[in-house]
Amino acid sequence: MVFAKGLNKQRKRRNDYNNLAGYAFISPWLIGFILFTVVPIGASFVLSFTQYDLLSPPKWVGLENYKTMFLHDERYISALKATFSYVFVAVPLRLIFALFIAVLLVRDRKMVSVYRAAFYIPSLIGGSVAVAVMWRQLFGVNGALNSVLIELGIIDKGIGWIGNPHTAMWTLILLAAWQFGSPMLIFIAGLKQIPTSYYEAAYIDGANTWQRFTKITMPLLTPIIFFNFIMQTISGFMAFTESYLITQGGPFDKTLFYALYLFEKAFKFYEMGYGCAMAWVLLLIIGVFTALIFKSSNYWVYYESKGEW
Amino acid sequence: MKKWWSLLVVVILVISMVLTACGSQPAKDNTGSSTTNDQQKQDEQKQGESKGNAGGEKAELRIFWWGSQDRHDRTIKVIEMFEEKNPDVTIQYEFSGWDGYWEKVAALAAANNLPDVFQQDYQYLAQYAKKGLLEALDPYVERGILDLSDVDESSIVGGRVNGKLYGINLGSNAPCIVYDPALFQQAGVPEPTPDWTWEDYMDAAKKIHEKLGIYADRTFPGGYFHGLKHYVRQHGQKLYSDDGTKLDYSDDKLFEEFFTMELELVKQGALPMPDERLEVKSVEDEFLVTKKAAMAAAHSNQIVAMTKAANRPLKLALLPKHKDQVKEGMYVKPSQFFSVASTSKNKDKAVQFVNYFTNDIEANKVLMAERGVPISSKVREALIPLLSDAQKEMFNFMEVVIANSSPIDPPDPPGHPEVDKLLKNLEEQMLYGQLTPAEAAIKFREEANKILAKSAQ
Amino acid sequence: MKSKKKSYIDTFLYHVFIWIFGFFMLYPVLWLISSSFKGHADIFQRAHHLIPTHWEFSNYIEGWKGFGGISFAVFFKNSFIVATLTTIGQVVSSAFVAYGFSRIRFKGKKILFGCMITTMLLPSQVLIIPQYIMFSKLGWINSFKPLIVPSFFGLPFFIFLMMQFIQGIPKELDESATIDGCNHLGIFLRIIVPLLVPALMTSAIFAFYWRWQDFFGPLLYLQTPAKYTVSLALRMFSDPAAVTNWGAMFAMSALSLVPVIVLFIAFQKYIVEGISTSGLKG
Repeated sequence: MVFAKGLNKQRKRRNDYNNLAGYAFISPWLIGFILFTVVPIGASFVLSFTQYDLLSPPKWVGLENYKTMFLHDERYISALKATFSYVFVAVPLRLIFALFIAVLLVRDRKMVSVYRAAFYIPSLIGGSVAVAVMWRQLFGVNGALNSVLIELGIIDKGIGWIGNPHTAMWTLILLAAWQFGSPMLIFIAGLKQIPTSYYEAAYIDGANTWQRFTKITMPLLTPIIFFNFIMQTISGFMAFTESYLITQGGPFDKTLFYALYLFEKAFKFYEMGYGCAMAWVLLLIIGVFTALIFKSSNYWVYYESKGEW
Repeated sequence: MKKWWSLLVVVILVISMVLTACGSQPAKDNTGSSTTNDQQKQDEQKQGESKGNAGGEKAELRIFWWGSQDRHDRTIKVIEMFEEKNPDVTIQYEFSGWDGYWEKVAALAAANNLPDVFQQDYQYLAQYAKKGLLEALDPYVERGILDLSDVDESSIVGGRVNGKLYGINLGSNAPCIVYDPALFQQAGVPEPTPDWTWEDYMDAAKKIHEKLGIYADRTFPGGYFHGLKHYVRQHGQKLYSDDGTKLDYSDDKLFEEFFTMELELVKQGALPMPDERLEVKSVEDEFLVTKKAAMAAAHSNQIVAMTKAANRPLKLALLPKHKDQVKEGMYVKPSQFFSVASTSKNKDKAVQFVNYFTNDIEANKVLMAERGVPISSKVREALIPLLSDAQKEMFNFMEVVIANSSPIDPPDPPGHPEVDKLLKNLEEQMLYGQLTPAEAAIKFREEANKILAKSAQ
Repeated sequence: MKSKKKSYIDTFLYHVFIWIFGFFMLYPVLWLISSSFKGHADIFQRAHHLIPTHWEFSNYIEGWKGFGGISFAVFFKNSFIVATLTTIGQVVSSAFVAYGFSRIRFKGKKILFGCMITTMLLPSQVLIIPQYIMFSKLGWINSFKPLIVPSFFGLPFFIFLMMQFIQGIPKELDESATIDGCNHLGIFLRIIVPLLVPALMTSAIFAFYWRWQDFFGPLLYLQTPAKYTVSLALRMFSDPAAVTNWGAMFAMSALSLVPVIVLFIAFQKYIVEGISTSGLKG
């Protein structure tokens, strides 16, 4: 008994220490969360039940915003369609590109650091006005793409890729794929974290490049793939800058991203209440996808050391 | 161990402080009942007034505008001149591009922190005025702080909402057509006269396209919105009802006719499809400037920029008249306003600044009509000898507009930005053959009325 | 002999592929840079030509002047202050939090982790107004505080990223350190941080760049032009109704890329070697 009590006491002390240490370590986030995040999030939730034009105090309208969204707002449906088709194509494309290039650029070769910078630069100019001007120039009727295609005889008259309802979305998807810099960098860092001794051992065992890739690289990289997959999915649903700068949602809402419509509603049409309601529905949608990916991770993500859950 | 405990205590203390100190207050301001908010506003106003009355101290003004590099430089210069003349005033200025300007103003309004003087636009003026955010300026005119004695009523009226003056026009312009006289001559088409009609326009457009193989125009005159508004006005009607709760014109035929004309020209290739129009990112690659088209829909003050970019003479024409028109569709439009915030603590000084901007000749020699034709006749006279050719064209054109116009409609209702977007979408759908003009007309009426009714609540 | 020849061909193909692919990737960037050296007429009328008809350096001089007597030197200085402090704040604080979440078992962890992930799912656009009101109540408007202070409280993206990396670090390393008498702080500083360098550097690159190019935050919170950042100043060039000085804008855009690229090259050097497992005890 005495012995068990002592053990219990020890365990309790150990738990106390862990609780303390845990909260101490996460305190920066926790304090920031309470200080800067809880209040605005709470406010946005309450505002989603109001009509709020920013200029005068909000008016309570109950579920009105949510009802309008699903029952009477055609543009909302267009926004959903555009966003889903974007996420389902652009996210995988960007990840595949990023991983492919990361694998190429992780090797120890001459010039590799220059190459990395080169492939990362497109992501650096992503949010600037310049990129919008440039993209329109590239895909315009008299743009570079058309001159190449005409030269090759694939088409005989220039197409306005950005303004055309059938192709507008593809130019944005291409832009997303082109800016694969951040997942690429994360992949490179992940690849570099894999202990070199594993490869050496496998090499001695006679594994070829492909085997080493599938048997060592891929499994050990799964936590990073998982991270990139989650983050890219989230940011895909929230994609904004691309269509804001380049297409403004046109032609006739074919590229009206969810976040763009939300922004339009909140800041251009001054319907902040409606915008907040849209945000909370988006949170639910992304939440479902994120939860699914988290759940699936048990089956395909391999951790060197399991987290202390 | 002790170390950890003390740390925990500190963390808990901080958290609880934060929860009680910050957690409740800001949330209340956003979401709380309207009475508290109004009260607060009133309180602040009172405070401001008492402070303003005290006088003697140095007054501080905040001024905010949007524009280009050129405008920033000119405006800042004038602010410095004003400060020199009024040593009791210091001015803190902010400026931005058009991008982001309205988002920022909205945030400032939400936080009850609007600048004393800020630039306003025709499409937002009514909304801000109706919410009580702007100061009515009529009393200041009566008291002589704001001098409008050299200003024609037609240049003032655009700043009125429900009969009260909320914005001072910083320069007049009008929706118009900019054209290249050389290309018209080359195509053997007579240059537009002040009384050219839609038939004349259609003929000219077709001929230019056939003879020169270029586009006649980048968009239909006035674009989808100003064009339709003009067409409706010509038939003695208005686009929006006076109270802004619905569309005012009664006959969908007008909508149909207008877009059928546009569709005809697009089908013939005299106007480009929307995808090609997108190529134009700024004045420099406007089709008219690059000689891909002979005309461009614009506002009259833009001729200065276009001429500069094209580096050859361009001219201005009125939007076409209708052969059976009931009244003139053209009107004098304020390019932008200065408004004074109702929360301003130094309203007299703020109005004084607006007055300086409007009437001072030296100041206007610096501004050089960059925001459109100045509204004061004395200022105009003083500037005339200094004008460039393009500016002269703009000044003369405004005389023509005044002679061929009818009074401007009331400022656009709060739902306007959304209706504008709707119309743009419908126009594109018509041009891509997804809707006929007749179908689009019905849809426009339905959706626009919904938007207007909702935003007027 | 044979394998050596093969590896030469390999290397050759590798570089050729990267060059071709890289050219397409970089074409738009080259376009931007070449446009910054073009005269007004050249920019859009000879848009496909990457080499200007004559080199125009005046764009840089013109652009550097800035607005109303405030040159880009000021804007660059402001951006440096804001971005550097933000980077330090975010990376350091996020590392602590990430360790707490991934290596310590404590009460309420799952719920808090869920909260953190959830905050990433709400579009920031709707938080702008409440946050703005909050900061204006605190009297922080027209200072760098709203841009810098929150970054010292960690960023969920980085926290989650570092967590994934920490979970790639073998647990045995911690355990052996515990035996050596290290507490959590000791394990974090001596074992985890050195092995986390690639993730820290990656985060630093992102943190710096995100703040550097952020337009909306500075737009809302900074009022006097003397406090404007580069990204904000870049948008001051354009007004759809007026002549935009594109040349100057491109010139300053190109220039604004330089610090980020330099920083990238400097930092990515540290994403070098894999973990040397020789430190692993048994």
